[in-house]
Amino acid sequence: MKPVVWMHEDCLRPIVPGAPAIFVFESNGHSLKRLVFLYECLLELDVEIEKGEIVPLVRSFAARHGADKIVTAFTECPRLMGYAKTLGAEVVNDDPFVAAAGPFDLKRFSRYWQRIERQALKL
Amino acid sequence: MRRDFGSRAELVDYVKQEFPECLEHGEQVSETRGGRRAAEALLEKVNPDRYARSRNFLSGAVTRLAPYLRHGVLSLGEVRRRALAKPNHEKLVNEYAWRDYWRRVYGQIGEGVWKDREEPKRRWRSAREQTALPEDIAGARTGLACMDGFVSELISTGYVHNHARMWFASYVIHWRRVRWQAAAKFFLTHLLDGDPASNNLSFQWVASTFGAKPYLFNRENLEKYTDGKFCRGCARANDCPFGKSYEQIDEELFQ
Repeated sequence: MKPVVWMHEDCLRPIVPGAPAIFVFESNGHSLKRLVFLYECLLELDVEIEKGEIVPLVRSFAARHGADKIVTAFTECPRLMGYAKTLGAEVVNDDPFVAAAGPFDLKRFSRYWQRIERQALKL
Repeated sequence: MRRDFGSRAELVDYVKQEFPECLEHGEQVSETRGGRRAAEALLEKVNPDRYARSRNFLSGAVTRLAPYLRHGVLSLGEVRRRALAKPNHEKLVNEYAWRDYWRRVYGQIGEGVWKDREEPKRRWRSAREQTALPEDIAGARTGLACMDGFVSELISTGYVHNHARMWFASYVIHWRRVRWQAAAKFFLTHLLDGDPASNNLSFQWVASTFGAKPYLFNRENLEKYTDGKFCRGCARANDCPFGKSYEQIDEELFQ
């Protein structure tokens, strides 16, 4: 298998060591200070930086590297996960807060905390 | 895009040139540096015990990790494990869990984070409600040194202490009767850690559309946790809308 990674702004860390990675800046209304922060994060990573439309740019990056798989990090953001679906990407839930399986009662934080507390406080 | 920059100033110029539309939000650049190295340096300094004792004070030992967690430079799993290795970590881990919780709710409701989760628990005395953020608030010209100070810090650094976020949200929503979405959007634009999950749902918590009651504060509370630094030089110190008891404020704001 020859994967490439589509890195998005909810997970700026390597998730598949050694695999070529691409990040695409969308036009999404960020301030200058946020863009500079994001850019500095990217400069410390081995990643190709592009701007424009995510899906065609990631597809062409994958083709250029002869990849047979696109991998990306899980995020709760529906827009980003929509792109992942369009790309047919494998979504990896990298290092979650706790590994507890849902479904969770999310009506109030206290109920959620009660459910995960023991696991959260254990190494 | 380019990866070779001789200095931060060169990078900033390049970003301005490549993303000219971002300048509509101002030309400020935060002193907070992006990247794993900066995140690691902060992570190293995290002191869960001091955090638990002082986090509500603006001068308290807060972690400043939010922008790095927001953008996944650090994972929640990693910061949790690092906290567990230090003494008295329960409060800090509990606060990290809030971020995980907001994310999970976001995953469940998606764009619904922009809509009231629940009915507000109280009705304001005046039904007048503004949908846009008033210019005096966004321009740091309310004359209230605290609120103007929070906005100035937000715009220039992309950071506001969590307690100050709560005071600001409460002021805008309950005293000024502005729809929470307007203030949430303003914060989302300027915070380095702005994300629709933590940001919007916290505003909803203050508004009581995702919580049991509206979050209120008074001058005594703000003065205590800011060491009085805003009140001392405030032009409205003698006309402070927060200088009352909680009972008086409640009576004044709600039916």
